[in-house]
Amino acid sequence: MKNYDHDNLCPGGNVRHFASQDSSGKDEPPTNSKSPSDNEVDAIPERLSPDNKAATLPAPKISLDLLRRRQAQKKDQEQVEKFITPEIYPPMGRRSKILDYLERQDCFKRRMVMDIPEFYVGSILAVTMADPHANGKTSRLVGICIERKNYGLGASFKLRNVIDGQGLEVLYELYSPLLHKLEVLKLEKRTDAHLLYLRDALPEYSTIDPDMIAIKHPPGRPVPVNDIVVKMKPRPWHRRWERYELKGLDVSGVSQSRMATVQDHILPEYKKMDLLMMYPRYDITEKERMRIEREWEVHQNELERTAKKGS
Amino acid sequence: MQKKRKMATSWCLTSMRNSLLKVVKFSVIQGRNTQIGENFVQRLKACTCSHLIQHRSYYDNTLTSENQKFVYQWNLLKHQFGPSPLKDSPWPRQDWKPGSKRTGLIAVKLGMYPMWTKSGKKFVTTALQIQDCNVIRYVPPDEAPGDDQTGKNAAIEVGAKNASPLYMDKGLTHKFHDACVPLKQRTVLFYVTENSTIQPGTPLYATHFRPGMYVDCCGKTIGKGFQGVMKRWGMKGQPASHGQTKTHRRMGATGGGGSPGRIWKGKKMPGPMGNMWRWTRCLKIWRINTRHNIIFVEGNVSGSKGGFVKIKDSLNNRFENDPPPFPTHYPEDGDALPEELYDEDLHEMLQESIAFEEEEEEER
Repeated sequence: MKNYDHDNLCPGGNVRHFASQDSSGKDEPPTNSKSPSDNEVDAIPERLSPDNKAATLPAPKISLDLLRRRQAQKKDQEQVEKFITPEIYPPMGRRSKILDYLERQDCFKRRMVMDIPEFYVGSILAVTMADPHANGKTSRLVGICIERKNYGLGASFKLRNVIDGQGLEVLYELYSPLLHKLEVLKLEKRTDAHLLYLRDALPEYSTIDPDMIAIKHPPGRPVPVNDIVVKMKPRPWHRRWERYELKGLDVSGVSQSRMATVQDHILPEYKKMDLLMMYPRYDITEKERMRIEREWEVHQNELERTAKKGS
Repeated sequence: MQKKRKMATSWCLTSMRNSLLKVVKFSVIQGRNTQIGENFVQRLKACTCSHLIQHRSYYDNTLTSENQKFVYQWNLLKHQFGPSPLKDSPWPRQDWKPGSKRTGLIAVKLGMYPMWTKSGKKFVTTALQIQDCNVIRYVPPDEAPGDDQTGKNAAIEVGAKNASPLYMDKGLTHKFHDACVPLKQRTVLFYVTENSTIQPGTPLYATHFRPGMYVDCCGKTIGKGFQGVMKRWGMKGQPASHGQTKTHRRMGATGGGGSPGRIWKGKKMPGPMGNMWRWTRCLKIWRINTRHNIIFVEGNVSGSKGGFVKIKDSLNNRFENDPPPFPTHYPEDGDALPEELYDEDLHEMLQESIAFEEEEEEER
């Protein structure tokens, strides 16, 4: 089971969000309406089928306003896919199920004490951590999350920011008892599983205001996907990013000779869908996945219960 | 044609043998002439078996599916027809005194687990699970094998992880029968002082140890196969270029000249690497899960996941201040322990986040 579910990352949408705007809730996500040409060729439309009794009745007239209102209502009632944190799915390999279970339980225990919110690669976070050498014994860093890794108690994420012209990346352990607070200043996703290429991108894409005010994400709304394409600094880069099949960076500046070798390093489509290649990685069965998701549900319910008690 | 005939006869013989064996087994179940029955079975096998005679718990592929089921169940039951575990009265238990040595345990290595101390420092632990540990036998000092230098210590044989009787050599099963205990996959002999006698059959749990104690762990290192001198002994080899002819990872010199005129015994050379029992000493126990019998021990332990690990008390334990459960932990004594036992310095996940206190400025 991959830690990053690509299907969830890019649910499909042409939503653009800029740092200065509060975009959540204003732009409409795309509708799922299909054009008539997408329908199957041989299927008989329902209104023409012999069983449909309403076929003879005329279609009701609805004003455009009413139609729009009904569509908006539907969107609100639409159930957004519930977030399940990625670090509770165990990786491939020969692992002890008891140990994985104990690790997950410890993760949930820590979450009862400290709130670990939902966030993705591309979200902007502010981390407050205990620091014996800092004033007030805590240090706060604001940055964009560029990577999320590992299973269970060892789960970590990297924050990137550019402070006084100096790029800075810090690795934080999600379940470390030294973390005091995790605030999500802006909740959004990106089109890639990691943003390590920001090291070679122009600094404006990594610069985040340390005094940035949190942009509230209304609950129930799907998480917006930022499909920004980042402009790169001139070569040399830390890695040959053109070979990584990343959607979020502008590879137009790379020379033709380099682009010609890219295909040698990318798996062809038929190999990507090869089940025999995928099989050893999908170690976790459907039954186990259901069990893990059930544990997460139970934990969420307990959190809500304790929150209600407290308030 | 000749080949076909041979096969036909062997099949006929085996089927005859099987039907005869069923008769014999039935009489064995009923308890009639067990010894004769077993001898008859062996002789029959010797006569009719064209392949190697297997002195194992019996499981034959030529049986029908119903008979296979019967044989499987019979083999599982057979091992319960031993002497009763109440054949001896309970042995008296003695108290701990300075200089006592307790028995060790056998665990299975599950994997590794991260933890944090109360000061916020992260460290990694190895999780060792005690699976079906039982005392198999107690050997008094006179009969104990002489590996131990003093020759005064007794020995306790401990067995771990229940084994299937279908894949166990029959010759090894008698000691488990005597202890009234299921067959075990692995047994280890631990040297103990005479006062730490434990009755055979007693189950051993993870609570034999406590958080804060130090243990030595022995595991079988991961096998690397036949390895060269650079990997096996860390020798430097030779340069990659500058005229070296076919010599880059070799041993080089082997010793002196005319005197001694030979290679000393024990000279480091290529050979098999790994797959050996190795002790890792003085590992602190940080946490014990009493429900699943898991011990969390600081640092690394040799071996791969699922492998056996021998655990015993380390020499640097200060038991004078806090004596351990002696000779082992008996759950029926005292109150039930909580599900998780933690060391004092360990940060438990339900505790508050760690915050450093502001130091008061010294007055000058």
